[in-house]
Amino acid sequence: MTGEIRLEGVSRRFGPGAPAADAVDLVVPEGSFYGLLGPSGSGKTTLLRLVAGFETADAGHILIGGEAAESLPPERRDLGVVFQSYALFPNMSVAGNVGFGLRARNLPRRERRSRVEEALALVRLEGLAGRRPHALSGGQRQRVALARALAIRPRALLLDEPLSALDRALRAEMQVELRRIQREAGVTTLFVTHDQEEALTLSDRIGLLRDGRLVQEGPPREVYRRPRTAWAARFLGEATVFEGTPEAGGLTLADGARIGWTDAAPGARLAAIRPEDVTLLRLEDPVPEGWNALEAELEVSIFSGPTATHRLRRGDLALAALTKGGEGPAAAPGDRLVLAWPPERTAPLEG
Amino acid sequence: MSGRAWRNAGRLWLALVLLFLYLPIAVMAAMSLNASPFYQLPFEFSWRWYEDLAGNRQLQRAAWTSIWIAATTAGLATALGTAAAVALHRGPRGRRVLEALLFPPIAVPWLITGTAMLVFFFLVGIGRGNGAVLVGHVALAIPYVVLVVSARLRALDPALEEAARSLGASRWTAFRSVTLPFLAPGVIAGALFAFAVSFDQFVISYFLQAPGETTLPVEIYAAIRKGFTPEINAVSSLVIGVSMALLLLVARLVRFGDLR
Repeated sequence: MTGEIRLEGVSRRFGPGAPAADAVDLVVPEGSFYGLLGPSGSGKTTLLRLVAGFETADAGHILIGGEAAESLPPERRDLGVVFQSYALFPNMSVAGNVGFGLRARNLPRRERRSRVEEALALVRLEGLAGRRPHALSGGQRQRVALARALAIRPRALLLDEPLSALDRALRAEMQVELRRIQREAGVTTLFVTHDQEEALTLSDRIGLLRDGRLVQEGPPREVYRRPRTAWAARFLGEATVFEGTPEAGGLTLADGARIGWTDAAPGARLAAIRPEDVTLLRLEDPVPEGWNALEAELEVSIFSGPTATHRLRRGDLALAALTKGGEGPAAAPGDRLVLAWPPERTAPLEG
Repeated sequence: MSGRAWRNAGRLWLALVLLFLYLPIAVMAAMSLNASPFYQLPFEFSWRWYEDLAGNRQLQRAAWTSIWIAATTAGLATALGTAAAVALHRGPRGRRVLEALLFPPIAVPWLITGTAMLVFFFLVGIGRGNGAVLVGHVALAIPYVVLVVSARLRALDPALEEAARSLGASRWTAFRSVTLPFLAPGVIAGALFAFAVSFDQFVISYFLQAPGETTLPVEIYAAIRKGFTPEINAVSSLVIGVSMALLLLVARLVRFGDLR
């Protein structure tokens, strides 16, 4: 319980328009890595700032380690925060930055020094204690920010888009590092990002935010495989969304084609499939027993090395299929192909 | 004209502007070292006027008055101006109006500001004297400090103070250990500005001074009316030297501030 973060009915509104947080209920279990994902303006940073104490909720409760935190100022919440800009103190060395929270806690000098060393070792920056922030690379600054937040041994770690300032290669490396450091420190982490892949890669659980509301949450695999709404399906990767008339175990499209699923979803009018679940067949190829099959016209194939994306059209419906780069039937734009997929890969949607 | 010719013409123009600005000062500085009291050439080097100056009690007293008033003005205006800049930066209600109200004291002719202050100080019982001069100078210098410190504040990452808070620092500790060091170049530049504004101030000082207690600019003015001596050149050259040194320091600090 010591590091659990719990939000109960938390709301926050800035002026008119959509609220930044609308009755959000959310639990970050102790020791887990929770990724809060949403487009810009969805209120994810506001939620993080509410937890950190930089903003005050209009309604609801925030509990950190089971303790009510609403009335605590930021300095008494005992949370490590890593900012998007890193916010390293330019007037202090790396060691000064990492030791800042320990000085604020009036720890004796000897303990401060050993905890600074320990935190720098955790982020593998042992040799740089004397450097100034401006003399560091982006990746090193990120590590210092992390070490500074962890040195105080916080009840939980809050990360606000911590990797967005890094270039692609460094970001991939830091994702792995971030997860290693979080595991080694065993610290409960709430992480905010707009990058779907990053959230899926890093998190034990993800929460999807839209207009201040928590739309869906769960383990990444589950949320990806079984999005609850068309918005969630499209936001978390690519999806083809079908709309039709409900029937037993599936739906019928306006043109009469049938889409089947295996979930119990009576009355669902919408369904989604992921491009990578689709197998592309020629018209004369046999369709595996029980699979869904839809004929469509190929519009374009985009080869991108290991994979190729194929865009197809069936009347008004745009479909996508993903194959390995060199595979799939040889076809040219305008050719008719069959998209086939097993019914358990169809995700029925709400709404 | 070719690009090169344009460039040369530009350089010539710049040289003329600089000459226009600095030639009178250079002539004055040269004459303060010329032995002749009537600006006669040929130039004959002499420390005579500086020696006279060393013996001139009245000018010296005025100089010391100017220095302590300027130093006190710098201290007070910097403290008040920095606090005002920080408060404005937090975006209170009516911030735009407050900001707009900072500029008139810079734009309004000093003659009018001085008259207004004189009337007001008599009305509230402050009257004339060094105290009144000090209050007047502080009021005059605050907008400069606010402007310089505000410029620096705009470059401040708001996350810095939040980071300090999240690490366990109180609001005040966060300000003192993170925000203030970041603002330091602006604060120091503001202080030097305030010092210069006060030290060079004539009109307001002239209006608010009690008879007998004068600042250096007022004393120089009085001396000129009595009869011009190269001694004034000497003291003016010293004042210009100090002012230029201060301004160069400001320029350096402000540039440093931008780099970091």
